[in-house]
Amino acid sequence: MLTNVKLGKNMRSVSIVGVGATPFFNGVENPAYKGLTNGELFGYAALDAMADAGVEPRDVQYFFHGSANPHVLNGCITPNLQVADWFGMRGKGSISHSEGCCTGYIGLEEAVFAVASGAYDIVLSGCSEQGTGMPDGNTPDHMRTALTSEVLFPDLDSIFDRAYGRYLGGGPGMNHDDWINYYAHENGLTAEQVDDVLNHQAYHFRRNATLCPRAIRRKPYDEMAKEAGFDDVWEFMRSPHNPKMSQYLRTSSDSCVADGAAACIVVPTEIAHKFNANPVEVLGTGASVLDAIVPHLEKKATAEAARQVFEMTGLTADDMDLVFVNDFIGSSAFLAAEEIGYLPKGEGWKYAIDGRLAYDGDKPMNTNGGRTSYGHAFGASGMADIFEAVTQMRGEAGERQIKKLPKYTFLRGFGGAQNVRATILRAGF
Amino acid sequence: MSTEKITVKTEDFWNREHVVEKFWNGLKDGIVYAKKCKECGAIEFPPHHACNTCGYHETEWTTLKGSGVLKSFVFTGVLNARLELEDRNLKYVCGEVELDEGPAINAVILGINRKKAKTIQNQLPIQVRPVFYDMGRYTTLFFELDED
Amino acid sequence: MERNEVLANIIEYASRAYEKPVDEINENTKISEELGVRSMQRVALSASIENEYDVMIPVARIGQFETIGDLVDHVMDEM
Repeated sequence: MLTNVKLGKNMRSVSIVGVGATPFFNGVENPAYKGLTNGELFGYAALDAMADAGVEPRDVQYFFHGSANPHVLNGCITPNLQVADWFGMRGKGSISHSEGCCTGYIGLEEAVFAVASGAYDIVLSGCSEQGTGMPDGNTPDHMRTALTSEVLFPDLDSIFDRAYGRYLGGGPGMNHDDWINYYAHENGLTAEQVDDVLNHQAYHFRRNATLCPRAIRRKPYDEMAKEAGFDDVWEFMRSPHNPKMSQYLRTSSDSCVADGAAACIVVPTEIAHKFNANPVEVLGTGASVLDAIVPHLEKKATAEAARQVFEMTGLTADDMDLVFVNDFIGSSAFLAAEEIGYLPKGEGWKYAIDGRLAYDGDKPMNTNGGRTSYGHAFGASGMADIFEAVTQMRGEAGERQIKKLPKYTFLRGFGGAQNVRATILRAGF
Repeated sequence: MSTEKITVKTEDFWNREHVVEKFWNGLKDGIVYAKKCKECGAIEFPPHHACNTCGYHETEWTTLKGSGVLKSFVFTGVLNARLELEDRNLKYVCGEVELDEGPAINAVILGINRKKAKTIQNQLPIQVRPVFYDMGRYTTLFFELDED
Repeated sequence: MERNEVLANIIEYASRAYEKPVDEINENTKISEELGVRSMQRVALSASIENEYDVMIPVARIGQFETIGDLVDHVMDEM
């Protein structure tokens, strides 16, 4: 039963009427894209979203720029003002925000607040990130060099609380395997079973990306296995070709770092049909943040954010037709889907093994391939998932279109491995 | 010539405790500082101004024994190793430690290699005691199995 | 385990990790300079070594070894 959703007592309903996205790619090594800059990428995605909504730059009143690490990856602190001119919004108001890999999901939340409150009517929210490289010394933006692990790894620690956790036990080491380890013990799964579950999940998400032209890793695992001389793809996925990089995660469960941008236009729902025949309403967003020192924080914050958005909307997980989980930690995908109730308690791992989470399964997820195949451009990943969700809800996903046109979609954002959002979208009104 | 005079020095006007500094200096002396909520009594660890258990604004200082139980743990791999421990050739796992006084935290447990971990895998929860580990520029709080 | 056996294995891991033919990699190949610095490639190399020899070289520390030969020597010492 859908209660008459009010985002807050006095807030009006808001809908997405335009979406745009670049592919996710390696800007250092791919000659077709090497040299493209943050402003250009954000600009392309923003102008695509405007065209999709049938508006000109002059019509858009305010915008948000989201990126997880503009300082290290682009040598800049306040990217909003550095990109405005690219898409014709010079002189208007804008904000930069940064919540790690949850940035994209929060970008939608903020844009909705700006319109629901009545402050603005037509707002753009975009994200862009160039995760594969960094500035090549003190040079113009088109000159970039590979991001080395010597720069990346120490910098990764900056997501952890420097007052305490980073130097006690709340730093690196826990966040990758904590939840899958907890789940394995809770459900009596052996390490081999977990390995099988994660390999099948990665395999089926890759099938989604094969049909998604914007994904960075699209080659089917079957092909990779044959090239490496394996007849059995599962043998290949358990072989040294797919080594373990943490206790449970093989490289196939590692997110593929990428460059890319995505954007959306939001307006009041009551006028949404003037902009697009298939507007997608943002029913609500649950929010919960837990420091890395808190045991099993991803499970707890996911449960809390989901509780909020189900309570806010009066919907349940059974109403959801499609789910996106930010799975830069590969195992998060089916774990979060089970935690919110999209998959039955204690059964999620079987759905992953049986391929039921793929675009052609009965519990579709991450239809763009998710972080391990579509790719992970940190702050832009969430907005890329919103782009895919809207595309699926309009029935415009072509080869990877899920069978039942989705009316309700649930997105579980996760960033800095500590920020969590849970957003529900509605189509067909 | 302006006639205004400074009647109250800023440092007298506003002079608050240094909580983080006190915590880390305490570890140097083998003391585990925490806060205790003045309304619900819950332990706030690590120490903060307010209570995150009941949401009251005020807490007061207390100290913890530092002992507790290890409830679950994971190994690290090449992707998520703790560099400062690898550089010191330390054997460790990361896991959930519930302190005797209640709070549960993610922590580093020293002295556990793969073989040892397999033996304790199904004896959890298992007693641990504090290790005040000198990292050179600061002393931090790790744990080790309380076996004897 | 003979040193040349470990060398052959590590050359194979590097060939897969950096997607370069085995015959283009030898003892004197400079890892960062000639093969690459990206963390995803280094994850594959260090993970293969740890899976096979239980020698832990964190991804961010692979850069310490200038050549494949230096890496082999380290693995031999640690095994």
